[in-house]
Amino acid sequence: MQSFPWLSAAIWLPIVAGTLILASGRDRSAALVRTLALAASLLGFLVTLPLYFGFDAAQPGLQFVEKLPWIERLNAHYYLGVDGISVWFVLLSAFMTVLVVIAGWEVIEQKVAQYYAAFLVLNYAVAVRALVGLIPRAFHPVAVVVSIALTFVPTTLRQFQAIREAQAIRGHHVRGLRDWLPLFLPLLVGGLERALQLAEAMTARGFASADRQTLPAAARLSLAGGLALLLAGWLLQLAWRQPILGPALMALGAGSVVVVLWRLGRRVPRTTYRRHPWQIADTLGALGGVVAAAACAVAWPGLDRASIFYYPYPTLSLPDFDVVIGLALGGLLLPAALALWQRMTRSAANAADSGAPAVGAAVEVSAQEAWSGSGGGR
Amino acid sequence: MITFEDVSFTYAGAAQPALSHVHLALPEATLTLLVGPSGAGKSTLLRCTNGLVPHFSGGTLSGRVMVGGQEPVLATPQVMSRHVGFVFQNPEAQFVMNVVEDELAFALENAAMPRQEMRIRIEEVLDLLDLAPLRARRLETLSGGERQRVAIAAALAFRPAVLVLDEPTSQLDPQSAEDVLNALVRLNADLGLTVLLAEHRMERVVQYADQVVALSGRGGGGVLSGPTREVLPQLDLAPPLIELGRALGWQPLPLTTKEGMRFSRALASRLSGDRAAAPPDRPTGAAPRLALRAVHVRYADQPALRGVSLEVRPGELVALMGRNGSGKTTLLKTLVGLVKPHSGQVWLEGRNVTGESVASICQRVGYLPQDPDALLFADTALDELRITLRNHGLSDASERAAALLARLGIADRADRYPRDLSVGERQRVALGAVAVTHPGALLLDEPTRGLDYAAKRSLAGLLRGWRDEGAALVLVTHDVEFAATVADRVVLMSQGEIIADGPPAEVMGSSPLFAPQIARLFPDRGWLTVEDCRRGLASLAS
Repeated sequence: MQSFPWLSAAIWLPIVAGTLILASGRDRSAALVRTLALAASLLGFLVTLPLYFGFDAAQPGLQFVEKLPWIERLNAHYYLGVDGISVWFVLLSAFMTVLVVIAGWEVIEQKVAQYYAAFLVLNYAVAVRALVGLIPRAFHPVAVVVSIALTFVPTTLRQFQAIREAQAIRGHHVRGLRDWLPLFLPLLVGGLERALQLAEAMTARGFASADRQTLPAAARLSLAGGLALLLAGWLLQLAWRQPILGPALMALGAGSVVVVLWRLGRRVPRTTYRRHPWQIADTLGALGGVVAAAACAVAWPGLDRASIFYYPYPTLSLPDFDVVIGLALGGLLLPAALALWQRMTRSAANAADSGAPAVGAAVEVSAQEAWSGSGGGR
Repeated sequence: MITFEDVSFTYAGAAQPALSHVHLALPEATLTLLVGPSGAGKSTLLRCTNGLVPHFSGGTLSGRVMVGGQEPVLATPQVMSRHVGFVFQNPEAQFVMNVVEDELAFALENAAMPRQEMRIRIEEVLDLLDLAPLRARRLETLSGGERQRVAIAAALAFRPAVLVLDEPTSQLDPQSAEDVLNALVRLNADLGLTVLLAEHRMERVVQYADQVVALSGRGGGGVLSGPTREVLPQLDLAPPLIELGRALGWQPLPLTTKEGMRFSRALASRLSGDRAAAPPDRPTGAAPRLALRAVHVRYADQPALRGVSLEVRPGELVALMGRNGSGKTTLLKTLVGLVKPHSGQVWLEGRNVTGESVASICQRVGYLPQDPDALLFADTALDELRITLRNHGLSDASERAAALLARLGIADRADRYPRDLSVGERQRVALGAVAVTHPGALLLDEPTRGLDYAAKRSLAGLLRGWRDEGAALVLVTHDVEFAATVADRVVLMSQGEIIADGPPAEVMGSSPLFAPQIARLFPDRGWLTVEDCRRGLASLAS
């Protein structure tokens, strides 16, 4: 066991710093926010260094393991560790954070606090496409940032391919670490140039127009307070084994955060173009989720609950399998099954309608269908 | 609709004003073409109409800009976004969402427009720009022209009275550019939208423009504006038809080939004699420097080249033309080894180099890709050249690099950061970076994209110089006029095959789609450029 929880520090430092920055909140203290972000990111990078230097490459499996029991019923643990592959990513991610904070130093003039907070939190905690629609309206700029990041991905990949070819024709080959510079520098500079162009295009389309209001002090404080309560409750439960007080504090914190976000969201004047009415498919999907959750969370007599928890370390073994729980988990697949069924009935109907040439049209319709399905949850 | 009264603007930290004492008046429902060399302040002028200058750019503005009764400087870009739709050069860098419909809705959602109203507006712009079939498509799956049409549609979603476009076609191939320009002309004609358009490809739009505003470039800051036919005769550089019309004193100045034909028919009927003498022969005896032998290339299931054989000799300048996706770029990439042929052979200087590494081939072949920015990463222009030399393990001959920069006409830019240079200059640096090994062959992919007339003219001079020194050059281009000016030989491609190969007069003269303006005016004479025509007329007259 490690004397100091380096991994926890590497993960929680940026998140705590992001929360602090959000709470400090006004753009007029931009210098302070920047300094704070830089300090936090540097510190975040420094605490990953012991992970790198202390890593024993000769030893297989997870290292720097931190394990605390969390929710006994779900056999959930607070369990951290790095293996030989991820130690590099931890280092890279922390280093990238420092780079991005520095890169954004001069460029980001407005919404400084939100930008850094969003980045620090997003970089560590969130990376899922589906989350765009779930980001609270109060954080509308964050949702926009996420969607831009996602639209940037394909462009950046194309760009990278072009750069690789362009450098190859100049006789460039990759021999060592230094040789990556000609590949990444144009990508980075090109990306920043595109970011500026995008900022200009968004200004020309009036993006900032609905966004010129200040966060009231009360909301800011209760948001930070709520997050602090959440964290405190969690620590109480985890470290000091308080089975009632901990969860209670967490519930209080979560409740106040939700209320504040909801009230802030109502202040953001924004409409949505797409309407996603609740349909039978959604009911079925929700039901499937409930069934799967019930099967896992409640100790039903006659079910082998050990099969839920698979544990690959320290030795690899075949996981247990319980048929009933397997079937219950299949409930999570309901939305996919529904989409598949819809696609098949549709293409069958189209083929019956107009014969062979309809195949292309059927594919197009189902693609559209699949897309509007994924936009759910708003 | 739009008026500029004594407008001057200087960017923060700049010594020279970008605009000085500009007076303009653009009436409602007109299509105005804004022309001028790179760096003349076109983008700055356009950005004054919606307040991006000075709100986004910083700097010092004086004078008064009025757009539809609003003053953009006071109103801020946020308010002006309702009145002025703005479209930028790069279709990739203006999107926030990843699906067409969502992108169109983005600005409306932010403005909290009720959903009912939003749906009407979106249907409207989808129809206006023929985007309805693409509404659920992801943006990254669209072609450049389609993307630029989405950008225009997004700019029109607020129903602005003015549409401003900053070289919207400079990153597009000619077919996509044509689509975009046609859409603009239709919007102007059908809806009475006031359109202000900065554009290099004058020959495509000049006949639709009600008026032309010409910025004369650095230093002088002079602005010429007025009805199209009055301004065009005063410009230094113009499309070939206008240039010929001016040289021969045709009045009123023809703007379309159809109008020009009235004059050229009359002229031709008075001329006697047959076709002008064929241009001097290019070397055919020498051994080919570059050759493809029965090359097949396939991407996944799609055949890209189908049994292509081509030989290029030293001292030959070949223009490779054809529709999008006909395999032109693939052919160039096969020549340098970036694409491996499925079957067939690639020969370089009498040696079979099929399967050799890109780096070793590129020491003897320079290849300039479509986007020169992908090459540039060093701190100075001179360093770019030296890094290539070092990559190839050649001695770091700084004199050689400096001499090449001088030849490229950018010796005074040697210590500048390449990405800060203009499009034309950046391309020169990239060209230097691939040509510094003194290769015997040069391949260029769309070298005229985004260049103004002056830059094209000096590029033509540069390429001819290399050809005369015995280099073999292949350029892929859609630019008919440019190919007519420089090429000794034109190769037409279609669906991965070579369908025509011969002297420009023969290949381009016979195909109406690839014929330059002059060849259309004087069919069957073998004249392709204004120069050909003047020389031909002079020899016939004497």
